[in-house]
Amino acid sequence: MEWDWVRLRQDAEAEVAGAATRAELEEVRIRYLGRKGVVTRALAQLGRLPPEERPEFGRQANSLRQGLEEAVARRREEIEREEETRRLREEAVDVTLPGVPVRRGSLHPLYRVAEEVKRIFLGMGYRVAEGPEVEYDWYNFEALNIPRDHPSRDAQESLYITDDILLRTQTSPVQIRVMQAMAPRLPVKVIAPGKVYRRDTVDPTHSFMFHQVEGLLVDRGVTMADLKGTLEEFARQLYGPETRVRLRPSYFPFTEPSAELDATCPLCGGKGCSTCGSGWLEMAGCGMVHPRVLEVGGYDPEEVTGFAFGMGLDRLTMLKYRITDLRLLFQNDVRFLEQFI
Amino acid sequence: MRVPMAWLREYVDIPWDAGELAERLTWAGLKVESVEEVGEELAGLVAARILEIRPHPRSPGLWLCRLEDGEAVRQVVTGAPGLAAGQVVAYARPGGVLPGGRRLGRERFGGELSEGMMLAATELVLGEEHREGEGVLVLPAEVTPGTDLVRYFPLRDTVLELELTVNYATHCQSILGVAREVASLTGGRVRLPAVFARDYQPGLPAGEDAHGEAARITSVRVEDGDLCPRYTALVLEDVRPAFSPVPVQFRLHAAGMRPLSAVVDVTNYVMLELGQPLHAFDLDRLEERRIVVRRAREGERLRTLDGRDRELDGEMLVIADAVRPVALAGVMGGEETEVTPATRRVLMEAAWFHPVSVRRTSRRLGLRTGAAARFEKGIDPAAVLAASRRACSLLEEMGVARLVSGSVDVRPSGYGARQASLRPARVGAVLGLDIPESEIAGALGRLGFGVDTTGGESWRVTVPTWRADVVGEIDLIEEVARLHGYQRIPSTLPTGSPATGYLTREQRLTARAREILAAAGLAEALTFSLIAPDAFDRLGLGGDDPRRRALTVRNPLSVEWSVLRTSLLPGLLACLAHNQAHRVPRAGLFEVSAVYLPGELPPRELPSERLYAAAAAYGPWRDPHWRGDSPEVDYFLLKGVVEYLLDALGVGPVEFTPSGEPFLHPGRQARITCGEHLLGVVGELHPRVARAYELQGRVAAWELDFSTVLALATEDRRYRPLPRYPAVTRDVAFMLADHIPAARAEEVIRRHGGALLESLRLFDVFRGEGILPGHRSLAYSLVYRSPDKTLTDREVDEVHAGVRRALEVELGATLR
Repeated sequence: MEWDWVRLRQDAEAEVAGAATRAELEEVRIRYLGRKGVVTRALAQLGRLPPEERPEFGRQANSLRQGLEEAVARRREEIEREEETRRLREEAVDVTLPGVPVRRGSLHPLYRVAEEVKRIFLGMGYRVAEGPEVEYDWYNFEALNIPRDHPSRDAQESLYITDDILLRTQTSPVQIRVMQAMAPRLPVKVIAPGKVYRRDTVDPTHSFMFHQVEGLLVDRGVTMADLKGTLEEFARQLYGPETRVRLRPSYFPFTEPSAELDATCPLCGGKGCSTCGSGWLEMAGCGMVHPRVLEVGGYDPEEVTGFAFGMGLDRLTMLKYRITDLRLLFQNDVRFLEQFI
Repeated sequence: MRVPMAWLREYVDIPWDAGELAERLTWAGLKVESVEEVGEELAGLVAARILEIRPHPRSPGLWLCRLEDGEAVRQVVTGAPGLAAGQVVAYARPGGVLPGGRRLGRERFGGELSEGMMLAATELVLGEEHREGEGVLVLPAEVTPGTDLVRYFPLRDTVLELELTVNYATHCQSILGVAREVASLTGGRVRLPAVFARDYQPGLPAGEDAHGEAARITSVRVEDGDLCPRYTALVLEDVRPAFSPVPVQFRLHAAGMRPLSAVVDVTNYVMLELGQPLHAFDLDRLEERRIVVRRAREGERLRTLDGRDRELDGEMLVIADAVRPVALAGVMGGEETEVTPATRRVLMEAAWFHPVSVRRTSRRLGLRTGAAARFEKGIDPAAVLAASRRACSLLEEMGVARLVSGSVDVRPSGYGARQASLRPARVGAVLGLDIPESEIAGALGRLGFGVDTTGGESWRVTVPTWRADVVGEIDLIEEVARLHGYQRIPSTLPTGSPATGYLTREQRLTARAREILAAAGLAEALTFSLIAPDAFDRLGLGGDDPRRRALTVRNPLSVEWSVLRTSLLPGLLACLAHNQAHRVPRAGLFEVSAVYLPGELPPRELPSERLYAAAAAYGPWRDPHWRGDSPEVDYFLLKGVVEYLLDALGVGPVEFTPSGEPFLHPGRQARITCGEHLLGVVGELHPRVARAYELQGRVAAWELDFSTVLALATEDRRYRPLPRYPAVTRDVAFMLADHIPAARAEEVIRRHGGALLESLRLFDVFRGEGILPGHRSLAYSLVYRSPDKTLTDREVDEVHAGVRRALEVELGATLR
């Protein structure tokens, strides 16, 4: 029997190319290369051919089989790629639909600021001290150079529990408690953030409960220049490296000399704006620890000096997040809180 | 403290304008709060000559006046009596503006045109209706009509408003005090009124001086010298009722005080000027015309100048006459002895009262007066009598009284300049900058301190009597610092003993807990530590519930915030209610903060401030979403948060057992324990409590004693090797009576699963078809694994069969 190898190859390749699906391709493959396929059958005839025809026939048949196998494999790959492309096209989604929501928690803005303050001072070698909010009058006032009839008690109307026990009006009593616990070891180097209370009505800038952070360094040779430098470093880390600070004379019974520390306003960079007015913002009340306070704390003012400062955390928070009403900090409206993810 | 610049300039030369002066004073520690122009609005106030005056043709009691005001001849209708042609009077032209902004125009009275207005001093100075008995202000006849009165008197000034700190209030509550500060900045000298300078007595011993006419007319006895170290009296005769000259009235007004009568005005004027409070008594209304300074007696009363009856107590110092109190020492005079138009003789009191005594009286009676504000900060004892003489001489100059000779001066204590020592080296050591010794001495000298530097390392410094605030070396260092300039202090960083900053374990874990709760989807809240007393009722706590033992603020501003919380939940629930009231669809809050647990009540010791953690939530756990809605907050959602928190803090094993909190749903609450430690509770809010807080829908909450949690927490984490052999999973489903908690079943499964049971997970709870009433079906997935070999089916089957059998035998479960 005479085989038209050229014709056969053309037909087979046309069928392979014409297969549109993997199933069709498989049909074609079986028709030619399957156990009963055209090519397989042709090869089976090989033994029956005269010996002189066998080599030529075998070469033709094997070449055809090899060529077809390759063609089928190529076509299969093509079909698979097409099918995947089609499937992916079908799976396309509207990418603008919202993602599955994660339940978002948040940290209170005031505590965020408190954490930032702590981080800065921890970096400068300070530890975080704590003291009771319900405090003895003695620690809150007397030990801080504010006897019963001292005029500066006027400015701090206190909430009393008994004659001798009150809600602390400032974080400064922690100074005394820390010194008494530490004496005579040096240095005393702490900050003390916490709640304080005064007999104030609640309005956009006042509250009977608010927050301060106290700072205290007692050591040999501590100076007012160190105080300024320390708070300058703090202000620069908090507000940015361009921040400048200045000390203005002030008065606190438990520090002397006393000062207000102003920092250039972070909102306008010190040019003056509606928040700061002059370009400067009061940041801390501060001063050199009064010798009598050192003595109460158990230190000899001839041997050591110290500085102390106090800052309003609520104010820092309001400034940082541009909050204009203090009451928002205590209302706990989740529409407010959840802005601080 | 208000300081009119023109007044200040009488005392000291000022090379600066108001703005620069304010700046320099602020930097020296006298904070200038504002700079205000007084009298800026005034216009059209001039001198005018009366050309003619005749009765109003139709209105009896009114006159028609023709005036020449330098610009025009005008007609004014007036009711003022006693005017005559030829007089020069104060006049506001039509279009003129009075203090406070009132603009004058043209009007008709009884058909007659009236242009502008003739003015009494009160109208001119305050812009207010003239006082009783006060007529039109008549000027000296030589004043030219048209003269601008604002310049003539003057009636315009720049006023600095000082916000004085407590220490500077001792010596800066007067024009003189501020002038001294200005002089220390300029290096100039203070000009004192001649009388004051002559009678200023830098130091005097204790004793009594009574001489001259004054001593014959009156006497002073100080019974309580501890509260009154010095009391002086001068006597004025031939007193006649009068108003002060316009310049005096204007200065009082500019400084923030009201002009009254000449005698009272002068006492105020001198107090503002020199810082010495004075009081004028009507001498003839003092019983036996004498003064006794003593503590009030029980039951004594006094009607003070403000017309109020005051009950006095034995700690208050009073000025009495022979029989009764007539003034509160250093605070306010009494009505019965005040100076009136009928007064003919005045006893002028100038004294030095004890600061604390004045302060106590003033506070107890709620009477804050200029006198009290000065006495309670400490006045200059050397200026007492000199200031009194200055006042009397002013009254003589005004022609309203005559000072009799002599004085009474009783001094239970002496006074004089005090000494302090200063080591100049200490200045630099405290401030951190080098100031040459000459500059230190110079600064103190300019502030009026006497400096004796012969000691070398330690100087003797004489403190002027007006500086009651300066006691020790550190006060002197502060004086040097502020005069040298705080701006000149450099910035350095401390170079002392080494120190490391770190957080304690509790601080670290608390911060971690807050981050975990935020990560769990809750918003951190910050609530007030004070709650309302009815909070415990709202929670429905029993009468003997320990949480009712709470501290109460004695003097709260509002009862809403008067009790120190013993639980965080009332605060959080109120916040949830706030959110619901604002139609916030879902809220989940947490707080980690202190509660205040008292020991005995009333307390003698401080309460225990324990750190608690709490959470409360309502609404869908997530916002509604197109992929399906979220579960609503319930017991299990908040239990999951607690489990996450405790797990993350390494606290366990934790058990949840049914509990009986009155404020929680009786069937949906659990006590949280770890071993024998009670950690807290979790549950859904009792509907009754939800109603009490006006909360709608399911609310779930938990509260933990976080101090206990912290004690049990561990940061230890040990690596467990990853499994090397495959696991075999077997499910078991069974029907169990409702009264047997799932935790029992789990315990049975674990016990019988033994070492091969790696984990178990409840994946279905089912009631309904095929399940007996009072029962539910539980389905668990159990994972078996051995750490050292691949388990065969047979090995697993054997253990699993044991688990199934045990559920049947021990719990009466029906396997499904």
